[in-house]
Parts: sequence; C-alpha cells; structure tokens
Amino acid sequence: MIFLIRAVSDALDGRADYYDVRILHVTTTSIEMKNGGVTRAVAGTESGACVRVLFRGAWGFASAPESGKAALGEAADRAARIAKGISETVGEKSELADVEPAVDDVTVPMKKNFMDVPIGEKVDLIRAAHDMIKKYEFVTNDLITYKDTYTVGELYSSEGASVITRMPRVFWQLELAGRKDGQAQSVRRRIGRTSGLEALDDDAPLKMADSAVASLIALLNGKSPPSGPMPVIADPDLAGVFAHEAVGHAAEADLVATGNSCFAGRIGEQIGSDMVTIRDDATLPGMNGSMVYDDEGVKAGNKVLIRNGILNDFIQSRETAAKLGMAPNGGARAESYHGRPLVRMSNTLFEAGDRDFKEMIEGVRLGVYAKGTRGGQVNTAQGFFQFNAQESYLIENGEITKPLRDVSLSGRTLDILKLIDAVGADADTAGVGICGKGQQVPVGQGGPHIRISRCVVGGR
Amino acid sequence: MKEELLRVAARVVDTAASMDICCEAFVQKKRHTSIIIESGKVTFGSMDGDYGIGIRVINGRNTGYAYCDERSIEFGLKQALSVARLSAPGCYGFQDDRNYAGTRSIYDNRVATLVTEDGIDLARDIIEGACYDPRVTPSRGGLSFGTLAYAVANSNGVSVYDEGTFLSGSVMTVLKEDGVMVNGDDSQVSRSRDFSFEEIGRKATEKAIGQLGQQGIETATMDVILRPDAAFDILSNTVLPSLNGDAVRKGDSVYVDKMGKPVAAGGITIVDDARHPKGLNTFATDEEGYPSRRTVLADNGVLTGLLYDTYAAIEAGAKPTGNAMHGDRMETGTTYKVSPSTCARNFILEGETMPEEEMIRGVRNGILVDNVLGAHTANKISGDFSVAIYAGHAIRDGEIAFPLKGGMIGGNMPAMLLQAALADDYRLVESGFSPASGYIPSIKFSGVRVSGG
Repeated sequence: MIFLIRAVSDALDGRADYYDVRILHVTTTSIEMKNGGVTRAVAGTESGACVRVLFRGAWGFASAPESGKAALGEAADRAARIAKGISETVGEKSELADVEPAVDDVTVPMKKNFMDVPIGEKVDLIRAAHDMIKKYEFVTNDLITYKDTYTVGELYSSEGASVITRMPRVFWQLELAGRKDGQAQSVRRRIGRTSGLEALDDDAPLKMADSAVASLIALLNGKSPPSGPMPVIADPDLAGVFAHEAVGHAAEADLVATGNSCFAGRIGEQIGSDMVTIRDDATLPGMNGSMVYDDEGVKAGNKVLIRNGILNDFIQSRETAAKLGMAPNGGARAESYHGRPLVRMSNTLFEAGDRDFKEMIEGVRLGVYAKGTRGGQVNTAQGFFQFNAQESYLIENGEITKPLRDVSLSGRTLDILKLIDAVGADADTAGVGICGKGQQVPVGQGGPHIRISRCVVGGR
Repeated sequence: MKEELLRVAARVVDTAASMDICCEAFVQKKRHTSIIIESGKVTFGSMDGDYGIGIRVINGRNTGYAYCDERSIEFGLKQALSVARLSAPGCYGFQDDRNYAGTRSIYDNRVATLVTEDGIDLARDIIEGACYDPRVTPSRGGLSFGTLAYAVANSNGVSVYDEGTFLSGSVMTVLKEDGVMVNGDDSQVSRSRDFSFEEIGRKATEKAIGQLGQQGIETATMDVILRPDAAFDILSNTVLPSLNGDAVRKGDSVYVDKMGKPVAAGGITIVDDARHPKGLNTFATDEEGYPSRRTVLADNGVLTGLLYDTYAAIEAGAKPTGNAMHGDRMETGTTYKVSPSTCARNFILEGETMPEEEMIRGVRNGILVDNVLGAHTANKISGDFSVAIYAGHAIRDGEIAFPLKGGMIGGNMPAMLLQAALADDYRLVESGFSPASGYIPSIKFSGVRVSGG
C-alpha cells in the first residue's frame, strides 16, 4: 500500500497538514422476496476510495470510484483544492485531538461464512419464513429482505495510522401487511448482526415471523388510541429506540459543538431521574452497531452518556473531541467511501434497573403499553422527539385491556428523562436500526421495560 | 458525456444480443460538490460522484437485475441472468415507446459551471443572510450543486439520453435567549440558479425569532394548515404510495375500488407531471426510457388514474405512465444499484387557490405547521399518521397567535384530502424517503386531531 500513499502524498504536494485515505472493498448479496417470489436479488462487489485533507484548519474531501494510483492522486488533488479554498475564508480552525496512530489488522469472525453459501441456498433460507406465514389468510402481503455484506476497509493516515478491518454483516427483515374488516395494518421485524450466517441460526427468522403474526392480529383488532399526555410503558425495543432518538442523537458531539443539542454545556448536570443510565457501546461482539475501529482509525469505545441521571459523556470524533476539550472515543463513522466520517452512534442501550414488569403495569390507572417501533425523528436543538410504536395496548386500572393501533409518542428529552419512574430488570439488546443523518449506518439498541409517568400520546 | 453514456448503454445491449439475452441498460453518472456550514463558519467541502450501469434481463418468464461498471459488463449480464433463475415467473417486457418529442430535462449552465470557490461564496451568503440578528448562529447547513446524466437502451431499440442540473441550500439557525433555545430552518432546492442563498439564511433567522415565546396547546379537534414541507412529508408517506397502480392491484392501497370516486375535495386536481418546467424529476423519460408525461390522478377530486412502471402496467393490463425510477426505499434520489419500480415524479396539486394570509384569516381556532417529525412512520396502506409538530404556530381568530411548544397532529391523510383547500404559495419539495418530489402549496384541513404537549 506504500505506493498508494506515496501517490496521495505526491499529489498533495505539501497542501495538507493532515490527510487520511480510506479504501473499501464491499461484497454484497441482497435478496428481496415478496409473497414467496424473488423480486430482487443482486450479488456484487464494489471498490472505491476517498481522501480527506485538513489544511490550515479547513477540510476537503473527494471520492474515487476505484482505488488505483491515478484515481487516488486525482481525488487527493481535488480534496486539497477544496481545503485550500475554504482555508482562505475559514474563521474557526478545525483541529484533531491527539491519538496514538493505530497499526492493526482485525478480522471480525464468522462461524458460518456467508461468502461460501450459494445465493440459491440463501433464498431457500429466507423462504422458510414465508412458508410459515402463508397459511394466515389475513396476511395480504409478506416482504422479506435479506442482505449480507463483507467489507474490507483500509485506513491510512499521514500520522502513520494503518488499520485494516474485515467486517461481516447480516441483515434480515420481514414486513407483513394484513387486512381485516376494512382495517389495513403492517408490522416489521428485523435481525441484524455483525457476524456470519449464524445470525439466522436457531430458527431466528421463524420465531420473528411468529411474533410478527401475533402483532399483526393485535393491530388488526386495535382501536384508535386516546390522545394527550398520560403514563407510557415502553418495551425493551422501544426503550432502546428512546435511548437512540431522544438521548443518543443529542449526545452526538458535532451537534453539541455547533450549539445544536439540548445537552450542550450540561456535562455533570443531573438531567434525568437517577434510574437512568444510557450508554453507547461499540464493543459488544455481534451487535448490529458494533465495530472495532471507527472510520478515523480510533478504537471504538463504550461511552456512558448518562450515569444515574447525570450527563457524563458525548460521542466524539477526533475533531469534536479537540473542539470540546474531551477525550476521543471512536464515534466517527462513514456509510461508504462517498462520505466523510460523521459522529454517529453504535449500539445505544438503556441500562436495566430492578423493577418487575407486572409491578410497573400495576401502578398505572390509565395509560399505554407501547412495543417496538416503526421509526422516529428528533429535533436535538430544542430536544424533542417523535416515535411510532409498532404495537400498543391500553392499560386500565393496572391491567392491559385492549390492543391499540397507530400510536405515536412525543416529548421533550429533558422533561421525559426526569419523568422515568420505573426501570425494569429485563433488558434485551436485540434492537436493530438503520440510522439516517445524511448517511445511513447500521445501529443496535436495547434496554429493559421503562415507565414514563407522563408522555404525549398522539391519536386521531 | 451524451455519446459516452449512449455508447456504454448500447454496448450492454449488443453484448446481451450476442449472448441471446433480452436486456435493458440504465447508465447513470452523477457528480456533485457540497459545502458545509458549522457554527456560523464554512468548514468542509467535498466532491463526490457515482458512475455505474444497471442491467435488467428477461429470460423467458423470468427477470433479473444486477449492476456493474464499464469494465465488467459481461459479468453484470451473467449476474442478472443467474438472479433471473430465482425470480417469480411472470409476464415481463421492456418498453418500446420512442416518442420523445417535447420534454427535455432542465439544464442550467449557470449551475453546471459552478466551481468550489463559487460554492464557498454562496455558503457565505447563507451565513450573512442569517446573521442580521446577532442573537442567532447559523449552526448547521450548507449547499450542494451538480449534474445528473443517464442513458437507457434496451433490446426493443430504445436508446435515449438526458442530463440535468441540481442546486440546493439549507440552514438551521439557533437562537438562545434567557436560557431558552429555539431554532429556525429554511431550505431551497431547484434545477436552476433561480433563488437567493442569502434569503435562505434570512428566512431561517426570521423563523427562529418567530419561535420565541413558545406555548403549549390544548388537546382538541381543529383546523390545521400544513405548509408545503409538512404537507408533502405526510403526503409522500401516505397518499403517494397508495396511488401506485401495483399497490392498488395487490390490495395494498387505500384506493382499492376507488376509481371514479372522490378522493380529494371537489376543486382539487392531483397530477403527476414529469414535464413540469421546474420539476425536480423533470427529464425526457423515466428511468426505463419511457417518454415523460403528465398523468391526471384525480380530476376535480375524482380518482381517474394511477401510476405504473412497465412491469406493473403489463401485469395490470394498463399503459405505463413513465414512472419507473431506480429508487431505493428510504433514500432520496435514484441509483443504478437497484432495479426500477413505480414512483411519483413531480406530484402537483392544482385547483382553486387563495393567498395564505386569507386562509389564515378564515381560521378561528387552529394551527399553522411548517415542519413535522416522524412522517415516515405513517401507515402507508391505510394513510393513518401521527406526527410531532417540529415548528408551528397557533391561529386564534384569523391571526397567528403564538409559536407552539410540542404537540402532535394525527389523522388519515386520504380522508383529510376530501376536505382540503389550497393556498397559492407553491414550492418545490422533496420526499426524504423516496425519489418523489412535489410542487405544492400550503393546504388547509378541517377537523384534525391535535394532541397538546
């Protein structure tokens, strides 16, 4: 690789105080099956590279569709020209926090190597869930998506970092649509692991399909939810989404550093009830958002964002760490070679407490038990969020009474964190998300059951 | 560029012919430059692009898709062919309409010739526009400009090329006063250099100032005016997917058995116009090379049409409408990496309009909503949605009263359209979760459920 780095260095010709080069080789198989018929199946490999340049405090970035010497040199020249142009106007200079340049070669293991499995076998593997579902008449459509990706990433920096990572990923998703008495509803289940095909072992897709069918039945019988503020109990999956949407995003240090987070200037402050501990942990083997190094070549860490209600840390890139005077913790990720690394989450987890689920329900006179998610969105500056539950139930006088449909929740992060009044002992960390912030990256999430004493429920 | 892309597309089809394969090639080349603003400064710039070939083959009653680059055409064809073996058997065909008279894409030389230095200057215009009030910081934003070119060729003799330009800018300003933080967002997107970057900054700051003094709102049923961004965010996740002919045929749409019946207020005509002179998806053809056209979906409120790509049209016994796009779910824009499917291109609401001020004057108790959060979580089959208000104001006795603190709105968008009225403040809007775009005004809905914060 020395000759590639030399090509970049020659092309830059002194126009960089710092630079790094990322080279990616991605092998993918992607299958989509609708109602048992394969509607999309693509297998392919792709390579590309990008050069990032810091010159006099200004950034330039350019991508190249191949990793050859000429293409990299050209990208380096473009990145340098942009950085130089911006440096002439830049007021505040970007800097990088010091790290020991890593030299490493990491292979994340696969027990069952999906590269050895022919595409036809993968089709059979995912068809099993459809075969199970098709007997249910109220299911009008089932869509199964499967994707495996093997990414070989190389990162070289002008400081001497040289990190090679080989990362497998498996993603499986089932979407069911159903109809009953004119009601139309849909549910979704996902499996996502940084592992080999063992991610789908033990009939995991069939178990997911089973639970999806049960959810769909509840939804098709669901009534419109009550609206307005009321107590809400979130299941482990939704608690994880809360940790991600409401807390994780506001703890992204690039948002903090640009005055765009309600957490800015609050490190050390009690912002939530002392039952709240939330961390973003990239080190858990196999989870969907796990990684060994981030895309700046920094070891990806376990960041305790809130400890016992006290705001403790942010997710950092080297640039934000320098800006905020904090320690880098390996939180910079890029979707592909088309984009620069941004501050991103990995696996965001709400820590378990000691309460029993039944006991949590018993404390509610009128409220909502919300499970799973169809997604959410957040305004980090003012700190408010919306997310939509997949499946919900009405709680009346301490008991779960009837299913609801289309329940959305909204609230202000800094209020809600203080209103969490019970945290269950039953954490689950299988939550799988795809997080968008201009670029999409796979993330994990999880937690226990949590109870919020007052949260706005939106109905119609 | 034109000759190069057409030549590559032809080479795919010729190579396929020599292998006795029926095929369609989609060659796409994108290029763009982006400039980023952070904390009131220009901090980052990038140049990125993508160039590749999507290959779709039909082999008997099977079809397959794969992508490749110029050096691996034969490999791509073989991949597509091997994938075809796994496909659900059906009736597939490529389109053969070559009547390309009329529409061309929008190509503005003033955009195509922009260089990085221009971009830096325009980004500084955004910052300057925002900074007229010293309490405000343009905290995050930027701009992007570039070109998109494509060629389509297929075994039926189709061979077509088009290219267009794109320009966009956005900023979020943050205002902190007395320990309260509010923000204002503004953005513009266009095919031409026909808007002011300075104005984006100024409007964002005006909006932030307008958010000072936020108050909660009661839970009640009331009139709701959705400004274009909020309205399209919800429409593109509810009504648009339901107007897809394939979804209707398969029962995945609220418009099953609704042909000839009212689906919008009497004065509203719903159109998908791929020839619109400003449209973000205006090109000579769709991404199967089918000539672009204007499709009336609802004529004076009555459902008259649905959208089809070629495969969906064959299955439904309908004619394609020029709505094939290589769109990936949850992504803006199109890519050669995925096969084409039906997608609205330029979604337009036409009909009787009134100035927005007049519309507001007609509301006794209601809200005006600029942006919402979470529209992508809507039920795409039934059209039910429940979203948080990102930025909005209460309306009391025909006047804007105060900015809203939190709150949610929910309802069934297809049903709400039956009672809708249009303002005249038309604006180009993008869907964040599909390649669809729109050109729509603010829309007033009556009797909408609002949940207080």
